[in-house]
Amino acid sequence: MNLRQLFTYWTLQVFAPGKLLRLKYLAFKDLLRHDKKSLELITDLEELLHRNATVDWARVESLLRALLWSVESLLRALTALQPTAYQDLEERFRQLESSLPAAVSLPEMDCRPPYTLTLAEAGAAPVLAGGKAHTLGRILRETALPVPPGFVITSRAFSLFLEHNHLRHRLDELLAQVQLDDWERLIGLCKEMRDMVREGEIPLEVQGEIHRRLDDSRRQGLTGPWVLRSSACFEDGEASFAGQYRSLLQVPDPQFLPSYKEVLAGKYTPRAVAYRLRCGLADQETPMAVLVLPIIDAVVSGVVYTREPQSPAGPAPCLAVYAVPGLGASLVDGSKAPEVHYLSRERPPRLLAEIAGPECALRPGVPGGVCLAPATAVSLAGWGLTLEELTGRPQDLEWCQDRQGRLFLLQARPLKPGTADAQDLQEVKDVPEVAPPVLLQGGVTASPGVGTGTVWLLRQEADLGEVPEGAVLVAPTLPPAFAAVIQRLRGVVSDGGSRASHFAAVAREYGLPVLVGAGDATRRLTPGQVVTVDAGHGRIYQGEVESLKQKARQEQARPETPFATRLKALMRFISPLHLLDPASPEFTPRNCRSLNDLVRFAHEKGMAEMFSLVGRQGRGLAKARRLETELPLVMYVLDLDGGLDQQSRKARTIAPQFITSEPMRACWAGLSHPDVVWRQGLLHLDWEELDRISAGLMSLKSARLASYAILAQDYLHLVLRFGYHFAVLDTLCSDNPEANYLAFRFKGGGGNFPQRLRRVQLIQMVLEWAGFTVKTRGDLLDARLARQAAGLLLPRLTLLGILQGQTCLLDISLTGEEQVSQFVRDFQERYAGYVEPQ
Amino acid sequence: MGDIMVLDDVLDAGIMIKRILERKGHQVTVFTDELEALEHVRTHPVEVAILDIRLKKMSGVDMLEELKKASPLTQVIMLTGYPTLETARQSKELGAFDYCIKPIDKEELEEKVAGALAAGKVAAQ
Repeated sequence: MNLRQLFTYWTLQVFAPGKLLRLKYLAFKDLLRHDKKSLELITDLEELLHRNATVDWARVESLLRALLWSVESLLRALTALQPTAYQDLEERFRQLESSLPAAVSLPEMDCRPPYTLTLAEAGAAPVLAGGKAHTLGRILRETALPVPPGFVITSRAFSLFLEHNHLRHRLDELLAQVQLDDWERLIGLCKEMRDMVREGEIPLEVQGEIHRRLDDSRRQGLTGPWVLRSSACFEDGEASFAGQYRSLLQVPDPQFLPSYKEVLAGKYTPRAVAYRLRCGLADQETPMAVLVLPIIDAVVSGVVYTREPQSPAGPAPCLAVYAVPGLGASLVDGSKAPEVHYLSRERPPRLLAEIAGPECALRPGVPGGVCLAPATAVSLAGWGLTLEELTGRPQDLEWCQDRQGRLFLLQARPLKPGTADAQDLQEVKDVPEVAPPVLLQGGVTASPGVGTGTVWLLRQEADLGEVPEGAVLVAPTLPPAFAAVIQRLRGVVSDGGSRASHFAAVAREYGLPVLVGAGDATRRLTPGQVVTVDAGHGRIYQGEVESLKQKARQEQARPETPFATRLKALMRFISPLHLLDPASPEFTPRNCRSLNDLVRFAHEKGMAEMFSLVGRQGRGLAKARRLETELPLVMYVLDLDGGLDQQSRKARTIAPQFITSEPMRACWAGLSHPDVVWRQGLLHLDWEELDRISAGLMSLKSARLASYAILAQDYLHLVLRFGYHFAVLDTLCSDNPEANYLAFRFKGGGGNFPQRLRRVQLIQMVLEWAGFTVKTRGDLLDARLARQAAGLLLPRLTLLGILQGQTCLLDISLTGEEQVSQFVRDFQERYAGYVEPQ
Repeated sequence: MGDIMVLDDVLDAGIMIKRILERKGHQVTVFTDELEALEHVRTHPVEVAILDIRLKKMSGVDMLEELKKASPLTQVIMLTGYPTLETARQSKELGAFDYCIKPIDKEELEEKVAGALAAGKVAAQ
């Protein structure tokens, strides 16, 4: 407040208290509005944490910006109400605001060079090169394994691209909308994000670097076409992102730049976004580098898993080499079944067993057989052991062989554990004795675990959006796109597919049971049937198998995601309420340690300002006085304008018949309705507050713990404190229906959480019946009815009064759903007259 | 009902607003490009415009100024996910009807638009 405003304020106070009162009233209305909005936003954020919601961090940031603005506006409204008293409040807000970034900070977008690296350089630069390129670079530097020559377009080139095209805030706005349970919308949002990337312009610095690398390659005799593979940070690290991003094969030089953008756009496909969200990673944490390799004319390709729990030869751990004809894509996208070679984990590895593929790996079109030369399989298995030694972890590597018979290592990443070990196998073998009928037996464990759900038959990928929550997905193959709906699934069974596919890797990370190569599962399992999939042991049972499910639950515990860690750190500055006692000397801005404290402080002080309008010199028009009543309620009323009869002006207390405020009269008619049986002897005030601060010593008629009403002829702001909960009612019932509204908020209670939820549910059912729009979040209920004639709102205020009186102590006695619906039925029957025109 | 224009550099954001307001019977045109939006207003003075603050080419505040020049009676609701005191103050000075924050809920948006339409009718009298 500047000097001029301050002068205006004092002048008004001296010369025109009536006008000042109106200004204060307006500021107070503002304060209530911002208070309401702030609490809503805090609740939204709390809900993200408590529901374990899978949303993008951009949503959190967007809610946080809105919250900071609301709280700041709330404090400004309080300052407008009382310009001189709360000067240190804003300073405290600034301090809290500036301590937030540390709690929520994401890595800064680094846009400095280098924009490209050689593969060898990439081996020493994990953040710049992304997981895939870094690993390959490291193999090139530290082993003699044959890695194709290539280069990397760094993650900083991606950051510069976003910066250059001003894409960050636009992407964030869309990402903030993402909800994984709304598939159609996710597709739409992702399409807009990818279009934004495609329409972007590659910064000249990056273009120059790319051309320089391509020229260098040409000088070494390497011409296109090229393979462009995503190499996001975090990729192939803790989260595999296996197959979630795009790779482009066969990119000729003229198509290079658009293809680069296409790979970047692949960061925003529905399945990649869904996967990243489930890993709890922010978009900024996973900037995308791109690995560029010359195309290899592969005759045969495949993967090597270095730790298989068993082979057809026996339960000893071994290596497995998978091979398919041509490019490896058909193996990892789950569309082709491979031939498999099992080898021992010794040096040199020894061939243990082989499984023929449906097609010869070396001569496409020739059915069946084991085609990979034993020497090749042994050599590839040896690579696996070398990489295990290098990284200290089991490996999943991709390889290929060209027409000249040269082998290449294309990619390596840690193999996710999750394959049931042999002992485990033994243990559950006993279960079938007591279990219901086995519907299907066999197949290959792609991801172990147990899940019960309803069979959902998927014929084509396009129908994926329709897969319901709790499904056991049964499909002919195993495409990576399944990852997009993984949250809804309890298990996956595919006729074909392979455990070497990308989706299998994602499922292992996620702990979703997946059984592949199950032959004719799509014919044997009936849609709608409830089954239990025990993927670890290749069995599908009819119905639920409780003993197996228990085991599944034990395995469900998953580590906290970076998202949850960050959100928890953030909420420490937002949610906890430290300021509890308005009468305590500790109730000061300095002691506000969270935004919630600031909101609470401002609301309390705003109320206090309204109640002390009379001022120290006794100037002013209004004065809060106690309402006379037989009901066990302590209520103070404050009249702003025409809410009380003139005759009561001099009275110290107010008798109900002097209330002229229409909405207050209506509400009071409900609270004092003969049907409401108040428990005598219990004064209805804020018990929690009483327990905490008074130990029963303070006066039961203290205004601080009382209910209070701020009145005008057509306006009511009513704060009811009943027992352990509170209700706020704010309504305008004027001659102009368009301006009218009735807002009601209810929170808390003395019962346990389920009881409180039942009461909230009960109130919700009644209010929805009465035409309100009701939203609930936990035990907080918000009901609203707007733009209606006063004649419609007033009877509903009476109804609310009755409902408040009747449900006052109900939370403690509500024991079941049936009781709730019985209460609602009785209530509707008895009070239909208040809702329907008589 | 009202003739409304939405300008947001993110198409989806504009479409969400359009969906909400069309259910209330308003006629809504969505733009992502400032110049196209200005062109529209010059030939078609809408009653209410909803402007994002961060646009592609110019700032929402500059856009507000241009828009008010082109159609003084159009009531403008600024809608931003990046509120600042500075842009709030500038918006007010340039005659914006209101300054709202994303995410905005359906009811609030409907109320603001109803208010802006009413204010526009008063201003025209």
